[in-house]
Order: sequence, then structure tokens, then C-alpha cells
Amino acid sequence: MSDEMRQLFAKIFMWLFVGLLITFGVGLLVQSNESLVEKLFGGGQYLFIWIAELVIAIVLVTRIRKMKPLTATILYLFYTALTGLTFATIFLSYEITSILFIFGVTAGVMLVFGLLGYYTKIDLTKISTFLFMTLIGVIILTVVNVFIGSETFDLVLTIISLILFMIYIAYDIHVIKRKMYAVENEDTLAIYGALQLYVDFINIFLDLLSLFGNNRD
Amino acid sequence: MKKILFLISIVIIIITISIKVNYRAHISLSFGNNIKSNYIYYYDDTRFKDIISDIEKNIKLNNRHIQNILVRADNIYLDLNNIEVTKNDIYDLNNLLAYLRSFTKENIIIILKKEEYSSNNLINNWIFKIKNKYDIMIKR
Repeated sequence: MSDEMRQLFAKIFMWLFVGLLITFGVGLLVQSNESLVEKLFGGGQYLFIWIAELVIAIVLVTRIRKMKPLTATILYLFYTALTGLTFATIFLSYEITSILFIFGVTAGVMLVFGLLGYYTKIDLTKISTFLFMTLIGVIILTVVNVFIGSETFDLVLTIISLILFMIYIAYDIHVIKRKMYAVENEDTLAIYGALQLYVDFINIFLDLLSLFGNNRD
Repeated sequence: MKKILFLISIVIIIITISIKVNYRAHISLSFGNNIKSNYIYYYDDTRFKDIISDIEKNIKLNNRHIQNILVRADNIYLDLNNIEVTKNDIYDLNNLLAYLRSFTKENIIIILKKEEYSSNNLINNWIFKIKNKYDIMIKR
């Protein structure tokens, strides 16, 4: 690995770690304050949080090309904090030991598939369309399952989603390594890379939690 | 409790799609190794084959200098890394950029050596002039 590449990956993983720390920190903090939880999730306020998350994500990815590193960093950190707000409900629903264990497993999965993506000789960029189509398929079928209500189908979808995001980790690392992002500034590129890996991490975490998490009650 | 996780999962995955969709638009699909000449490489994408062939026929570049034009699915990369760009090349490069910009609105990204970018005034001046004119991105 060249020095330049090492620096880039060090920055990406540093921001990924900071983002995850903020998300889980905010989640823990909010769930410990009952009145805040009531305020956030009692009415329809959480809808605003989700909309804000979506808006920030869209602004980040569409404007990041010419964004200053500081702006990109602030938006990214704000986005991870908002995700943390929604994560408060997870801390209320699942045992903390279970959450920590699954967090560790997700980190392990990220390490394995990240190394795979970095060192593979296979050109993973060829499967980008396949990955994206599968992602669209997963969301469509998940919505369809809202009406069907099949637990088996839900299980199958969760497993597909889990596999999909494992491959996405390898793919994202592969793409970062080959410097194929059209982002000009290296610091902004690090944020962009961290954001991509962050969503992979969160999705894998939620899938694993859904499969193996222990409920509090 | 499962319902909460389910709802969050749906929201997160919608956000993920919005993040991945743009991401897909900004990267290439593959990297061709097809070497057409001494200094022009091209991505094996039929959309660009004619264009690259046309560039090869019509734009004569100093073979000592211009090494790579990497055309991928969504971006055109002009790779000047490891190449010493001289004053004579600027004219050719400008022609090339004007030509590229005349037929495509895709991202045109120039890849430069870091030290070249910071120390070479010729490059700095050139970058300054062409960056906005042709809406070019610089990658170091």
C-alpha cells in the first residue's frame, strides 16, 4: 500500500469510527432521557428526523464534488448524529450486551470484506449495476412484505440484505482503492468514502440485530 | 419491538439508496486494458470507441508527454500523472479539452502529480485558466 493510499484509508476509517461513535453515543444518551424519548418518538417528530436524514444524505452525495472539506465533514457528522437519534429506540428495545456483541461482529465483517475488497484481483466494479438493482429489489420487496406480513419472507430479505451489504463493503473499498470517485479534494473524498462505508455498516448492523438480537422484554 | 427495527431499517435503506445512486453515477464500471496506441488508452465501452478513435486521428499529441486518456462509463480521465508537461503541450492539451468538452457533458478529470501541481507554475496557471472554462476537475 502506498503512503498516499494509507493516508486516505486512515482518514476514511477515522471518520467512519467517529461517525459510528457519534451515532451510538447519541443513541445511548437519548435513550437514557425518558422525557426526550417521549418528545422525539411520542408524536410524529421522528418523521422530521428521518426526512432531515434523507435530505442531508442527498445534499452530501449530490453536492460533495465541489464541497469544501469542512462543510462535508459537518454535514456528515450531523447526519450520523441524526441517525443516532433514531437509534435511541434500538437501545430501548434490545439488550445492551446484544447490541455491543453485534456491533463487534459487524466490525469483524467489515474488516474481512474490506480486506477482500482491497486485495482481490477480481474487478468488482463490474457488479455495480447488479448490486444497485438488488438494493432496489430489497426495498421494493420489503415494502411489499408490509402488506403480506410474512415472517419467513422477512427473514429471507434480511439475509439477502446482509449478503448484499457485505459485498458492498468489498466493492466500496475496491472503488476507493482505485480512486474512481469523482471527488476533487482528498479530505472530502475521505468523508465520502466514510459515508459509503458508514451506511454499509449500519445496514449490516441492523440486519444482524434483526436476526440475532435479544429483546429487552 | 421488531416493528421499530423494521421501520428504522426501511428508512435507513431508503437513505442508503439515495447515497448509492449518486455514487453509482460518479464512478466507472470497469477499467479497460485495451491499448490503442502508445499514448491513448480507452475504456472498452462502445459509446466511446468512435470518439477515442476520432481523437487519435485528429488530435496529434506529443507522444513524449501525453500518456493516458482513460474513458470510463461516466467520467473521462486525462491522466498526466508521471508526465512532465511542458509549454508545448499546453496548446495540445487545450485543443484536446475543448474537443472533449464539445461532445460530452461527462466529468472530465485531470489526474496530476501532487508535487507537480504545487511546484510547477506552468501547470498551476494552466489549471487556473481551464478549470472553469471547461468545467474540469483536478485530482491529485
